[in-house]
Amino acid sequence: MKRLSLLFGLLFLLSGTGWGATGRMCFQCHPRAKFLKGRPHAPVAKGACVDCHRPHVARHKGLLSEAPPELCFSCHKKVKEALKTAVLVHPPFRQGACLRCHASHTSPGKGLLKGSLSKVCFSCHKDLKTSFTHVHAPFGKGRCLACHEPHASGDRRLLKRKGAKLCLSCHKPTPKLKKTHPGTLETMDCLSCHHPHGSARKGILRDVSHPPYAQGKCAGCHAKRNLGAALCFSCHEEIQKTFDHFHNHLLGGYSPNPCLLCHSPHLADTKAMLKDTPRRLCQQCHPETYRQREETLYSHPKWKLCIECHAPHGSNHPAMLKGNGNDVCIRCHETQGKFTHPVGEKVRDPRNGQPITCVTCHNTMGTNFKYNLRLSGEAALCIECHKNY
Amino acid sequence: MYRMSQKLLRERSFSGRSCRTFYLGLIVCLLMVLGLGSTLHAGSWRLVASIEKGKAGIFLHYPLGLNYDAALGRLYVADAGNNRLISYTTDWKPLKIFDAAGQLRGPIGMVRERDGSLWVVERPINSLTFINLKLRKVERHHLTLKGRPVLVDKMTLWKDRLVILDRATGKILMLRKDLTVEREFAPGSRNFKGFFDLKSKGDILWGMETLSGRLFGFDASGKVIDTFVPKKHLPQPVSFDRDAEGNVYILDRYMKKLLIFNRDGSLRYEMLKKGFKPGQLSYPWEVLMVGRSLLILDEGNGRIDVWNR
Repeated sequence: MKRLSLLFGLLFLLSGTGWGATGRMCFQCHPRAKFLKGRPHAPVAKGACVDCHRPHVARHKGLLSEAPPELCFSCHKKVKEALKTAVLVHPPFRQGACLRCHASHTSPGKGLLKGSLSKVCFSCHKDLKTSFTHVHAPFGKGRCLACHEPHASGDRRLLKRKGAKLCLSCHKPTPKLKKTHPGTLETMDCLSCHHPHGSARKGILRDVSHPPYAQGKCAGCHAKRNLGAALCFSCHEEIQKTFDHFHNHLLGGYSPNPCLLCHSPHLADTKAMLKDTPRRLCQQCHPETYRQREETLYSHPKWKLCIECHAPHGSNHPAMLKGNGNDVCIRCHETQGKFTHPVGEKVRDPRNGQPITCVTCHNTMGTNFKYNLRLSGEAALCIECHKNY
Repeated sequence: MYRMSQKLLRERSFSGRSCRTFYLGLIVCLLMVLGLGSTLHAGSWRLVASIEKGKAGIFLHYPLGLNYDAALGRLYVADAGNNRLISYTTDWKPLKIFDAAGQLRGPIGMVRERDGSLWVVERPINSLTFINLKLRKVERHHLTLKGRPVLVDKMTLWKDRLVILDRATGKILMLRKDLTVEREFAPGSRNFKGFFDLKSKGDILWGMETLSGRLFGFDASGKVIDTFVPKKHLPQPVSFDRDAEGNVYILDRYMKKLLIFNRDGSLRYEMLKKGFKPGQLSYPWEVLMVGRSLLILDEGNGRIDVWNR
């Protein structure tokens, strides 16, 4: 009994020697100056190395007591909560890759970032255009977090606030601003006309103008705005028929004019007047599809180009594909269309009696099997139908 | 050592009965903890039939509409991909196939009037088509609402009126006999996102909001008298129905699951999973309660699965 109390006492003493002692002990080998340079992580500053590390042995790299993100979440509980509740999450955050952006011990800047904010962001967002004639000041200064949330948001662009509220937090509604923007400033969609990063046009306006807007024929549309999609169809007559399909994106009520869910009425970056690239635009309503890709090993190389395979207005095929599960694939995969597992109307899937197509076995949106197969090509997939094998 | 094992054996034999009771109790507790409660709910549904073909033996192709005529005891299926309508008996046997002598184009929904005439939605030509079977007459109507074309979607008969969902506005429209709009159904709230499905249940007309899965129940005057908000995020809810106890069944096309909620919006349980075999879902499109049976129309698998409990 005496021995047991002695052991407990010793353990208590060891654990109670405090951070100072453990820190001091670690810093005997790991140079203190290296860890305390710049802005150190709170446990590092306190010398509480054992908050994250085990001194002797550990299951995780760096003698960590737990692997990130769980280790990080043990203190940063609010961030963990955001991951649980948010619909649109920054991919590194969803993957628990905290250390992709953050340093674990010390950093020269705020938020324990690995480098300057812009450097960290552009290390992944390499395709973002950076040189503009007219630049939005926060973007020019590399202050990405002035507008964006780093972890999660209700917006596909991870914006901090919805609609004009974000812009009006800096751009105060002066009489001049009100004069150039007739209507209610608070309900405007600023990003519909202005590029948030920069542009060749003054006022960082987007490059392509909708002809009636360029010609100053505002009343042509605004006088008939109650017509909803019919207003757009009055000029784009041929487009109306593209919605007359079993499945379509004419989501009336989702917006007074459903066309404006995806298209910008005044200015845009492309001729199709889309509000964003399809890759980002589609994410607003289909975040789960993006999550599927992030969480799986194999996906189609053209995955980001949604409208290569999907008809954006309407289609008579499930998933709004541009053709049936064969036609849409053989546009590129010509050989497979001629020489492959038998497909087509005459070859029926024994599980449901439907024609066998490429998508019977492949799921291009992301799977954990090579060639985007739905199940393992070793056997599991084949024996679904070929029972005798 | 020998004495010790003898003692242990004695102890075992003495406590054998209480041990059995104890272990039985433990197993029951474990099963309850592991969620037997919920599996009993989900497990109580039994797949009794899979409707895959019409009378001629041709498989359904992209079926997109279900309608049950309680008075006649007939199930009607709009087999859009095959340009035909098919009727089934109450034991889910195919009865008749109708394609208006080859005139029908991509029917996505239908209802049958008391006099036997049909209203069919032909999506490829955006027509609300009236078919008088006795006179062998087909009339196609292209509706408008306040100067804008109506995109007719799902429909039902309620209070002797044809009620349709207009996808162009997201509103539910009650039509007069001359097909003019008698009443529009939409909640007044600013954040309303338009309807995606509708069902009539007695004196209440229910509409399901696009993407959120919220339900709004209207009386005949167009006033919202009941609402339902699911307490779970649904990626792509496409159809719903309610049973006699007020439970709400929501079919999610992305999750490929049927989610069953209590009246207060709390999730009771989920059933079904992704797949191609009977009882599994590929691209589900509609759920319909017919008495105690649950019908699930799956466009991708070209099938209607019938579940009973």
